[in-house]
Amino acid sequence: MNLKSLLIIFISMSLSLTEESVVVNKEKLPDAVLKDLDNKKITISKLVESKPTLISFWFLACEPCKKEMKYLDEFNQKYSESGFQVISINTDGSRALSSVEPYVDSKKYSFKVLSDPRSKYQRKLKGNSCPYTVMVDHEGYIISRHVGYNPGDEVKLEKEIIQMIEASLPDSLNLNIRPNVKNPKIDSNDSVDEG
Amino acid sequence: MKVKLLLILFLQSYILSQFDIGANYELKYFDGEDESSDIFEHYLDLNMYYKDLFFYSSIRYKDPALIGIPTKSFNDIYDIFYFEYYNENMQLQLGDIFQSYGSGLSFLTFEDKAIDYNNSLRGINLTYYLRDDLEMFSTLGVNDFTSRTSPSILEPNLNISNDVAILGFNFQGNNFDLTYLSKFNNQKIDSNTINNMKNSFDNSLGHYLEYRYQNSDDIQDFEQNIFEHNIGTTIYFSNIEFFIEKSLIYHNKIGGERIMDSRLYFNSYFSTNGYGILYEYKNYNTPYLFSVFSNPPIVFRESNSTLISRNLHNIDFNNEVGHHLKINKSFSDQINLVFSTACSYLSFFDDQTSSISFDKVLSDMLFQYGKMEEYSDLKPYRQIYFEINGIDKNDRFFYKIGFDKYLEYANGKIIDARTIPTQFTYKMEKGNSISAYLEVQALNDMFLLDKKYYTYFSPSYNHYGKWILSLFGDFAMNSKLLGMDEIKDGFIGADFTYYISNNNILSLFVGSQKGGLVCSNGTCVVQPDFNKGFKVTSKFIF
Repeated sequence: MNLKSLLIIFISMSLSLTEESVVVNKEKLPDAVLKDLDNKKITISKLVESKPTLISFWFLACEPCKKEMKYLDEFNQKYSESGFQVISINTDGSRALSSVEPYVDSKKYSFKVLSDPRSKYQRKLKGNSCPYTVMVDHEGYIISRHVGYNPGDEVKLEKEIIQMIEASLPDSLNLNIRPNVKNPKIDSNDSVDEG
Repeated sequence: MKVKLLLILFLQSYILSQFDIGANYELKYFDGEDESSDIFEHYLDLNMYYKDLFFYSSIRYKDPALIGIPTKSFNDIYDIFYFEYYNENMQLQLGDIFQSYGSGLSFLTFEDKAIDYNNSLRGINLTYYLRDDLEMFSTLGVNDFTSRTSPSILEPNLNISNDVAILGFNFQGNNFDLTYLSKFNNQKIDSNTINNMKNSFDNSLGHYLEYRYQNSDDIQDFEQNIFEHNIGTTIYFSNIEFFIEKSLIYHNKIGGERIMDSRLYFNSYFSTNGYGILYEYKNYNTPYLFSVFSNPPIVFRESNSTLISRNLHNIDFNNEVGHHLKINKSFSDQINLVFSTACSYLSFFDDQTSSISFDKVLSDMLFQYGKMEEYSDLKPYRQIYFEINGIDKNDRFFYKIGFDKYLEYANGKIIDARTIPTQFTYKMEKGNSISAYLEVQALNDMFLLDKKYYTYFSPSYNHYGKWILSLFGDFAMNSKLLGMDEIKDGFIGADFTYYISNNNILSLFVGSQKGGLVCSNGTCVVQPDFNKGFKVTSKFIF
């Protein structure tokens, strides 16, 4: 009975931690040192460095992850001139790590791929399944998280990317971003969120 | 108990107010026809930050549990916890240590809730960055490892205590990197565990124990010191990479003499004309050791197909030689090719093993399929996979078609399975989409002369990324017992998932589901068998 009471307290405590409270506190992106596929150490904070960033966690056997990565690559190329970047973090353990580089090479992805073989950094970002996507604004604050990927979700992601890019520009330039964003695909955005 | 509870809540409230905090909550409630498939599990991951300090805690409550012992006492609730301190010069971790060095030949600790596996150390881990290109690392800790001789056993019947100390370095040169570590492991195995190993293990260790302890009354508790040297290097040469890692292990046979064993892993990757080519080789030769911390590379392809993953190679991490060749080629977004072939066999069986030519085994296993039975005592395994996938130019239609051929001699069976996994997705306007997994498999048990045909079908509709409806159909036909046209087993189910927000998900499943890997709702997870009932799962990130 005590355990059940405790459980109820845990749940109520969890539910009291609403998303709104997190937004008010503006959660800073945690830092870490990860390695890239050439085994070079990369410090996350140095990589993000005032750029609007999408961080995506994936592993090889995750088919939805691979589908999502195609669009992340497109976004990385399309919005790089606006300062946006994608950081892709692979969570395959050392058992399957050797297959990651051949896969990434064959796809010729334009983004940086790092390795988080024990998912420690993913846990720091509150993720425990893949694909797991975190949006970080130019000030280094986490603004949203996405669990899973289903075809069509890239529309939502692109909308958030554009919003992040706009927010990263000085006010006087905000009106000028649209021409820089090629084919933003946001005609139906309102209905996406409310669908 | 109430005072203790209040004290903990008070402390937790105080900590909550001081730290940036995040939480990840997952609920699983399964109510099936069989009592064994009833589950009520809760997982709460807590993350707390304070400047350079990070605290992670995983709390669980499960009664009834999918696998493992139900939560009965307060101590069962805390699953994992660790503190981490990070700055530019060092990384310090206290608590449950999840770490790996090199490719995991000597040390890789992780948790897998799906199989109730956790080999983490409780202790301290320090990585100190001496220079940009040189780091020292050290791990000290204790571990009470528990496991089962069979997944169907509720209570763990293997208990091994370990004290571990690791010291090593990693050097990063311009064209190579080098990792070296020494590991000391004091291992204690109680007599009941040794007896359970003897009675259950169908491998070299089990056979040795059977020979060593013909009378079970002779079995005593056993303690030994295991020393391990591990060295690994990656060499980058133009567009070719080579990685080689070797472990030398000095240990005792249980109740016997001291011996030296080894593990070796090699891989080479190069790309030419858009072809990414990976070759891997393993030789894991510690047949008399029960290693708690070694989790080396599998050296075969991990499949994301539901039917293929049901015939996963039964790898022996202590006694196996194997090869894996994988080729990736992307012609365009419309056409991508994947080819993979892997084979393996026991590294050590008996004195005859050394008389079998390595070249002959490799040649026969790769090119002369029928000759594998000559080596049936070596439990040979071979798998070939080919896949073509792509998306059309309008970015609307995705396809994936594969072919897999699997053959394995293991556990008194000779399984020959041929599988065609397919997947199709069509994207409509405004983020809506329909997807379908269709897979067929012919599975032949060549020992029992039994042949089965499996069909798996799962269509789903995704509405604006707000909700998803998925159907599951999983059927088996048995040619020997019931005739080709009669369906023996059928699993039919439907899943409705609602996205409360981007990261708050509620899912309801109704029906039956065969166990194994299931991909739906944008993620892939391993599920147990489930018969006639409903499941509620939810995930919340705060």
